[in-house]
Amino acid sequence: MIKDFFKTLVSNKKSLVGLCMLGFFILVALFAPLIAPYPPKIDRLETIVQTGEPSLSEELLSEEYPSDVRDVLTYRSTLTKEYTKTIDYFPLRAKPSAAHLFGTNHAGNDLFSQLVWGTRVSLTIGLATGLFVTILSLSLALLSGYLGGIVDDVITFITNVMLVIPGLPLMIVIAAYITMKGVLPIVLILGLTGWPYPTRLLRSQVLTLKNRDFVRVSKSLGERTSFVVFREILPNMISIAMAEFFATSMAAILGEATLEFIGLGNVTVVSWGTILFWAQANGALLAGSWWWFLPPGICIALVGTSFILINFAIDEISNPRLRKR
Amino acid sequence: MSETMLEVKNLKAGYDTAKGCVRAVDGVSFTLGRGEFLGIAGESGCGKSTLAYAVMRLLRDNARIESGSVLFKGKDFATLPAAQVEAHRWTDMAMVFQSAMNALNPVLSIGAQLTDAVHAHRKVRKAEAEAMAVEMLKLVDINADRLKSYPHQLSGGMKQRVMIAMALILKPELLIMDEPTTALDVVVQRSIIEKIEDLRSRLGFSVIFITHDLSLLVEISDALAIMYAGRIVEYGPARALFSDPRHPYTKGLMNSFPSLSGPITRMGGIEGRAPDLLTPPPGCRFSPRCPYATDSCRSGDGPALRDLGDGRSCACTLEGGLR
Repeated sequence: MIKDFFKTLVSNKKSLVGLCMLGFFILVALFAPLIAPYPPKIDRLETIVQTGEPSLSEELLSEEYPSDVRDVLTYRSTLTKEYTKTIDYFPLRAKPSAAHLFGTNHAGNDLFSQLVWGTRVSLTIGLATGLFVTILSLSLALLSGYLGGIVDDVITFITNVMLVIPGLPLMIVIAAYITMKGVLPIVLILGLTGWPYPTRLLRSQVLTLKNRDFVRVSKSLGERTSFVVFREILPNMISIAMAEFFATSMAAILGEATLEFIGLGNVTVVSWGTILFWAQANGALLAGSWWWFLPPGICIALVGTSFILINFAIDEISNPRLRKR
Repeated sequence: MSETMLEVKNLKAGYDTAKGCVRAVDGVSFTLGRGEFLGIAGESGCGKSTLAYAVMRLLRDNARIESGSVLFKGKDFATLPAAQVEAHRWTDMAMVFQSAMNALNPVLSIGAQLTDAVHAHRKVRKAEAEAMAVEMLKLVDINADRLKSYPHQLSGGMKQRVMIAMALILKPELLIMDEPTTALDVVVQRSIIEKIEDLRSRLGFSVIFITHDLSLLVEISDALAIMYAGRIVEYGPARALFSDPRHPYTKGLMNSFPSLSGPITRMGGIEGRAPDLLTPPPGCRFSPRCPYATDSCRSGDGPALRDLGDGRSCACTLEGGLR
């Protein structure tokens, strides 16, 4: 079964391309420390040590100074020296060069390294939200669709209310009120605003499936409700659920970028969204610093494309009818 | 007749709708002996499927059994707690559903669905269940290597045979078939019917066969029950009913299909439409369409089934039915 799954994924050309693209991004995210030439944010004191320059020759400060004066002198000279060194290695707002593939930003951070490190955050948020929303909406859809009655009424009502409220403004309002900063709150915000649409879609699928004859047969066999739901109905919904997963993951990556872009995320985190936020805040668009704002945008687009391409194969896997023999 | 296996007494079942109760089965009684083949025929909407589902206690949510009893091997299925019915269902009585195209889960292999049926009622190992599935598939002439096939890879006839295999896998004593051959062409129909006959002689189960295809029933049934608007109007040995119909409705039905030999005649058919079961006509329900109807037919509760001898009975005000 699992073997077939991967076979189909690989044998479908579109999904193979998609898999390669997604695999590339996942590898980049996993091996960010190895790929990125510099840390995402430079700690100036650390940098100088890394570049291998002696910060201060100890011999210069002879024994004649009292120890407290010596300390002050050391500190001062270190600061000035390190600062000049840092500027040499990490110029502010530099254009792309061999040392800095995508240039540097206003604070002298290497943009290529930021992009590599940002892949981690953006992908994590995207996939985590996709998983969260898919599980949530699938359970709600199965509950309300299969059980019906009052459970269905309540879930449908809440879904309808949530569908009426526009997603982005709601997301912004919630984000503005949440004081907790980090990846988890963003996943929660995106998840809690993203579930109604897939729920509605999946519920209608459950409704059509539960009246099919094979479900009746299964029930007449005396199968438990959980068996009917998970063995008979759920496998018929894999393709649509997976499509929802990829669509939601894509929406989450975009949503995260949006929240970060308008400054409602955590701007100290390095993600594709925050790169865009700092680019906007520092007039990169006005200055025409395309190397600053284009790469994150292209990455978002590429990840989205890979999701869609993989989806072609998911259809084939979950629907034996489409499988080639 | 051999010992009685199923006895349905005055069964009433109907659907609750916004406009009121539609009583699709209205006081149906019949008995079925071990190994017997009972055909139930009638036009669409006469309640024959509802009868089948009521016997199996598989009515949809808005339908219920109002009164009457379904005695199966001494137990009344109409009043038995649901859990006990479930224990008997499929092990003692199984059903072949109308359309095999929809009765098989499209994303599960045939083998998985057959073994699921076994696992639902028996605690057996996977290999044993699989062996049972293979054995059943062999019985219905399907190769064992089809176990891994998905429903869409099978033809319509094969799917229906898989459904029969699924119904018979736990060796039930009663098989209810709800229009099992409706969606199939006549050649496949024939092979399915022959298969059922063959299996019945080998395994010795009883069959209730429901269809609107009367010519088919006449050929294969031991006994035949003709249903009209929720009631059985005539019951008896199939051959006798065919050659000598006593109820005007049966006569109309028998006249509505041509014989292969003999002169070409214009088919009679039956004038009018089947009544709305929400507001059935008073008296005999066939009276509005019956050419022999008199005023006495159009009042009261309608005639009950009367014994005509020779195992035949007929629900008609005419003494002894039509002659």
